[in-house]
Amino acid sequence: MIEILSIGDRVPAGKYRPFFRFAGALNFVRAPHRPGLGGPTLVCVIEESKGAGPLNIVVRGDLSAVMSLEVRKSQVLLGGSPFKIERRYDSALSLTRPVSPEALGNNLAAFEVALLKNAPAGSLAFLLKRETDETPPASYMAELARTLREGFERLLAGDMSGGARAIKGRGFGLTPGGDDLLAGFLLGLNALHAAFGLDVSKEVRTLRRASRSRNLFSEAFLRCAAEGRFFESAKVLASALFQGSDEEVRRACARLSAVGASSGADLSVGLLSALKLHASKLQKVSA
Amino acid sequence: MIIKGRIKTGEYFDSVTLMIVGRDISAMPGVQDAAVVMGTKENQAILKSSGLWLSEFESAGDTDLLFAVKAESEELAGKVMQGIDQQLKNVRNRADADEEYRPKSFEAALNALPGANVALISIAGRYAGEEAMKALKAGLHVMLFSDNV
Repeated sequence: MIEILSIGDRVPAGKYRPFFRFAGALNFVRAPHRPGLGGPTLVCVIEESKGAGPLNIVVRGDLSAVMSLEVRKSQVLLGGSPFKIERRYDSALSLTRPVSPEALGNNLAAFEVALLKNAPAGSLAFLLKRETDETPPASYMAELARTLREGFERLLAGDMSGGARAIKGRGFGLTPGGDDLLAGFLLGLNALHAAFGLDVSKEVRTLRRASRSRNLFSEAFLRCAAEGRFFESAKVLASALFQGSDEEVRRACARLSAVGASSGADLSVGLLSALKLHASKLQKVSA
Repeated sequence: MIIKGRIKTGEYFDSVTLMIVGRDISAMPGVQDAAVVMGTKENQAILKSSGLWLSEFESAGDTDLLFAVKAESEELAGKVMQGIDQQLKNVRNRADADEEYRPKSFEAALNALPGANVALISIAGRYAGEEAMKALKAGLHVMLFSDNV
């Protein structure tokens, strides 16, 4: 028996076809309503352990026999069985209290320490450490690390376009680590807008344009991030960073770092970097 | 040095599995370098600049897997290519076996911890009542952290 626990606020109505299945997740696509308008739409039907997200339909039960998906205005047909949509997961970051740049600065320091502790080997957390002088032997891994570091430094220098082009599509996994990092950076920029009303629209637009991907998973993820749409564990961390204690930040960081093999940690690197880039400027202004 | 490679379609492995297999192959005697990556154009560019490029990779899509190895002999490169699928499965199985057991239902959790005397329930309110009743009927105390029950 299947039970639908939540449906993301960015899941559009339509008939979908199966696209890709992996452990605990069944991914569906829908062709664009009109060709050329935004490309195909991806929707992920996932087990509850993976958490809610803007494009996620979270279910409890056995997914193995599910082969079809149709989303209507107030109903989901999953494997032909109808389920009423009772409420949608709200993926926007809404902060209820005033935010202080100083508190954010302290929480970002706790976030960085926790991320370096929790990030799995092979994640992009190495970018947060200073580059060593040692020249690595010529290899695929060395070339990948060099390219990613170059792109990361360009992002930190404010070159959104050059940085994104050097990072996107690079790395291991179905959503390459570079794309996860860029999605995190976009979420960080949007979080700054939500918290301080900072005008980041130009940076978001430039980064989004330069990070467009032909990979359906990356593209869906990046599009949501550019629109400021958070999946659950990223939203919990962002809320903790702006309005929580350092202990809440550490817990939320550990939870996000456990998402995927390295996706959560890679996204965290981008989120942290975008916030750090602007937090120091905000602190100077408030002082 | 000989470079060999192939494209594999329709199978997914997580990032850490791909990285471990690439690293393990690179550490084999007689192997100079190896990569097991998704076939994005950007990853293909890194294969080119690191000397692991083969023209057959040109036709790969973003969700295809690319295997590339640079070895000291044709024989060794061929042997590595034949073994990659098994290596990927071995690393994935090892990761699955290492994963901590996380029960997905109240009943499974109780089976895993039969001496438990308290259930802490923190789920969406509309499901919380049912789970709380299950715990009470099983003789457990209940601590309920759900609203809108």
